[in-house]
Formats: sequence, C-alpha cells, structure tokens
Amino acid sequence: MTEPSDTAEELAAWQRRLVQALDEAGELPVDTRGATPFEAHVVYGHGVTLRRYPPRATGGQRRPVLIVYSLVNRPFILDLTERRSLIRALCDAGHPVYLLDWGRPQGADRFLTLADYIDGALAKAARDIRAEEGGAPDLLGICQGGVLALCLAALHPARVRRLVTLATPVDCRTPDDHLSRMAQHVDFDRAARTLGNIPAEWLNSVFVALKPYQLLGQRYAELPELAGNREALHDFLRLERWMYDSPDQAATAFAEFARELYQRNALLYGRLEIAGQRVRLGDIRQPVLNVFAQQDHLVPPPAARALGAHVRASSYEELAFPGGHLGVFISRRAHRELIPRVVSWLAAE
Amino acid sequence: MAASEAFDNEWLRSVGGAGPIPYLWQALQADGGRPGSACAAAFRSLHTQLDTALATLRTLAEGVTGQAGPGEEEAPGWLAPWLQGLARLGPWQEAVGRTQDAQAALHRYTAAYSECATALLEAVRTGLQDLEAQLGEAADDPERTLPQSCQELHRWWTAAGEARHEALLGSERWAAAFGRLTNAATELIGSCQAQLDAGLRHLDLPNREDFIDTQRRLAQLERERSRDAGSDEIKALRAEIAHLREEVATLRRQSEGPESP
Repeated sequence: MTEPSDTAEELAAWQRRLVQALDEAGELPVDTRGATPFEAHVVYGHGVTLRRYPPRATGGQRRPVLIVYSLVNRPFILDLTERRSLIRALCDAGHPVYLLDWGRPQGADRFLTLADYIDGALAKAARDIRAEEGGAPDLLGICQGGVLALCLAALHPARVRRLVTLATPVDCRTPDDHLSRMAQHVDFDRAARTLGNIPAEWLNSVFVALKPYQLLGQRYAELPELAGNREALHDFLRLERWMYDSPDQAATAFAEFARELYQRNALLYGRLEIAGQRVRLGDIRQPVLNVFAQQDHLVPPPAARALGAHVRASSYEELAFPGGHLGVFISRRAHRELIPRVVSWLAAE
Repeated sequence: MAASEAFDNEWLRSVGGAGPIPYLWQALQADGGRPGSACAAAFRSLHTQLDTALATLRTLAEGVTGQAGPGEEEAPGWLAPWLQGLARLGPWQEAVGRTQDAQAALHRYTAAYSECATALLEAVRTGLQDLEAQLGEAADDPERTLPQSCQELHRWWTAAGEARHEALLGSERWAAAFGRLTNAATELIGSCQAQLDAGLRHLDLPNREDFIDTQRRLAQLERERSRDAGSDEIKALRAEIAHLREEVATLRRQSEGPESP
C-alpha cells in the first residue's frame, strides 16, 4: 500500500522524469524527411511530385509499386525510421517504389477537384511509371489514398496491375463510424467557400477530438517513461511531428470528398463521378488485397471490408490486423507480421 | 544551463497537484488505498465544479436564445423583425444589414458552442461517476486490484472518460450539435469577411473577393494550358504514328520489291 507521503514522491519522480525527457527531446533532431533516400522526382504541378525509391535487393527486380497516400497527412509516416519504414521494406524486397507526394495546397489550389487529383496527377503518374518501368504498377493505396487508388483502378484499369488497400474507407456510413456521424450535418460546400483551403489545424482538432483522453492526456502522461531511451523518444517525437504537420486541404476537393463519400456514400453506391465518369467498384477486376485494422477508430473494419462485396476482382483477399489505424504502418507487430505478408502478396504473379 | 536546472520543480509540483487525478489519488491514499469518505468527498467536489461550469453554460445559452436569466429583463424579441425591416431603408441599409447578420451569426455561434460544451461536460461528469463506481466495485471484489499508483489511476480515468466520450460521439445529439457549431462558426467567419471586404473596398484596397477572383482566373488559365498541352501531345503522337506507318510501308515495299514478279 502506498502511504500518503509517497503520493508526493511519486508525482515528484514523474516530474523529474518528464524534465529529463524534455531535456533529451530538446537535443534530438526532428525533421519531416523520410529515412530512405529517393533518386528522382517528377513534378506534376500544384506542388504534386512523384518520387522514385530504387530497389535494394540483389536477387532481381520486381514490379513497380506506386504508393498513393492520403491527402490529409504527410507521407513520411511510411518512412518514419529505418526500422519502421514501409517504403524500405518494399525496396528491400526488390520493388522500385514510387510515392506520389501531394504537397501542400496553396491559395489558388482551392479550386482543385478530386478529378484533378485522380484523373490528373495520379493517372499521369501511373502512365509515366508504366513508360519508365515497362509495365503498369501495382497500387498501394493508404486510407484516403486507397479511395483515390480504387477510383483509378475502376476508371483506368490498364494503368493498374494489382491493388492493395490499407485502412481504406469504402462504406462511409457504418454505425460505429464516429467521423462519418460527425460529418452528416456539416455544410462542407459553405465551409470551403468561406474558409478557402481547409486549415490543417481545423482538421487536426477534429481528429484529436475523436480520442481526446488518449491523444491529449494519456499520450503525454506516459512521455516521462521514455526518459533515457533515446531511440524510443526519437520515434515519439517523429510521430508527434507527423501528427500535426498536416497540409491544408484544397477547398473544392475536400468538400467534394466529404460530401460525396461521407454524406452520400457515393463510392459504395456507384454514384461518385470523376471527370464526368461514374466510378463503379464493380469495374475493378485486378487482384485486390484489402488490409484493415481491427481497432481502427477512423476507418472501422466494416467500412473497409465493404469493398469485398462490390469489386469483381479476379482474386480478392482480406487481411485483418489486430491494432489501430496507425499501427498498420508503424507498429513493430505490423513490420514483423503484416508488411511481410503484403510484400509476399505483391510478389505473386 | 540544462533545461532541468531552469525548470521550476515547485511550479511543476503545484500544477501536478492541482489536476483532478492527482487530487483523487491523494484522496484515495488518505482513505488507505480503498475508496472511503475522503474519496467520496473528492468526487463530490469535482462534480460540484462541473455542475458550476454546466450552470454557467446553461445561463449563456439561455441568454443567447432570449430566455431571461434570474434577475434579467425579458429580451425584446418583438423588436427583431422591426429592426430587420428598418435595415432595408435608407442609404446605410447594406452596412446595417451586414451588422445585423454578424450579430445573428455571433448569437448562433454562442448558442452552438454552449450546446457542444454542455454535451462534453456532461460526458466528463458521467465518466467521473463511472470511475467512482468502478473503484467501488474493485474495492468490493477480492479478485480485483485497485490502482497502485497515480499513473494507474490516470489510466483508469482515461478508459472511463473516453468510453463516455465515444458514446457521445456515436449519438445523434452530438452529430447535430457538432454540425450546428461548425456551420455557425463558418457563418460567423463569413460575416466577418463581409464586413472586412466592405471596409477594404471603401479604402480602394484589394480584398478577399479580389484575391479569390484572381486565383480563379489563374486556375482557369492553368486548366486551359494543361488541356492545350494534352492536345499538342496527342497531335504529336498522331503525327509520329503516321510517320511510323509511312516508314513501315516503305520498308515493306523495299522488302517486297526484288522478290515480286
């Protein structure tokens, strides 16, 4: 049993460790560059660039993989550290890896539409990779990027060979989807007209408000435990930086995405139109691997698993990962168990 | 000098001691590690603080919606349509209209903010009740262990509080309140923009509308340029295909020439 006098001592010890952790944190470099060097990039306008990471394996080159990341965060979470890098894992397996970096929308980009992203930059990137590598790339779509990848696969099937979706929402009206519920009564078009590009701070506040006790309380209450563990503290700081280093959202595309997907569920019902063309999930015939996280509070499992009932893929597989949304990309368990399975699926002919 | 040397540990201790969880932890310790009278008093005190905050929010909401609080005069609701009508007369009608819109937007925002904050505080209050109940149940159950440190108590609180918060997020009440708050905030910002735009226009300075108009034209020009580039690319490809076909035909003729009879 702890004596009352121990309470003060426990708090004081916690504070001493906090001070030590903050001291150490102050000395650590924190930047938003990925851990893996890339060799070339193509600029598609509006700040969108395509990076190429060369394959690192010596046992022969595999097919190119194009990573399509979400618009709402920066992609360096996929290359957080050398030990926790999805990009490096793919390069090590022999894939030339391409990453479409959406950049940070500026003032005049408020008029960019989903069509500009999907039928523009993404379609061009897939075309350029095919020309460069001699074959259509496999697509690895992550979260919102998975939606963009599904649209490309449905609209331009020749540009996609195989498709992996990671934590990708397809049915945006499942009962346990709190983000979707919160979006139902918001006038996104008016917000886009008034605010212009949607500020990252606004979006981050919404995401944090989904788990405030953990993200604003528990996360920092446990920070002192990292004192003296330089590596863990560095990982913590990199993740912390990533969480709040989000770009503003191009106003028109953001309103379109929120309205069409989260309010009208248009992707699920085949009512989403991109550049005048209907996106029908049934048009996706490529092999699909659908990975979802079992404790995902942003994309609940039913929201991701809805894909299976709508695609007519030549083969469709699901992988359930026991963890949360971010755990899919950065957890040790993901790098030990999940990512090797994704790599193995991509290696199949 | 290292930050730790400069850091005022006394200040840190006072901040830590002022938090609700260290406060509860101290009460739990005063009860000998099992929830008793000190713990019950600490929970009561926290509930009272929350109730005071909730009462303030309710007063704010009632004031905004025109319901008189204690000791206040009845708001002249009948005046509003008359004032709106008045705003349609005279040389300053646009300016008066903008001001009235801004006031209405501010009222809607304040009401929506109060509604959301009330819902959140009620969830915190219910979370605290759950925590108190869980501590009591754990004390009565010899199979279970009570929190052994302030940090562990904090984890109990995070689980109890977050569960109630998530229940609120999953409710239609919260969806509607959040929608109203977001839309009211947008409206309030829009009315401020309208006021500023008008002021800048009077000073012959570029305003938001001017910037957006320029951005729109720029975006249109970029689209046109992109379309033209695409069209040029297709023309070039067609010319190249025609040229290649010609070459193939020539080669075919050359290869067939000597052998043909």
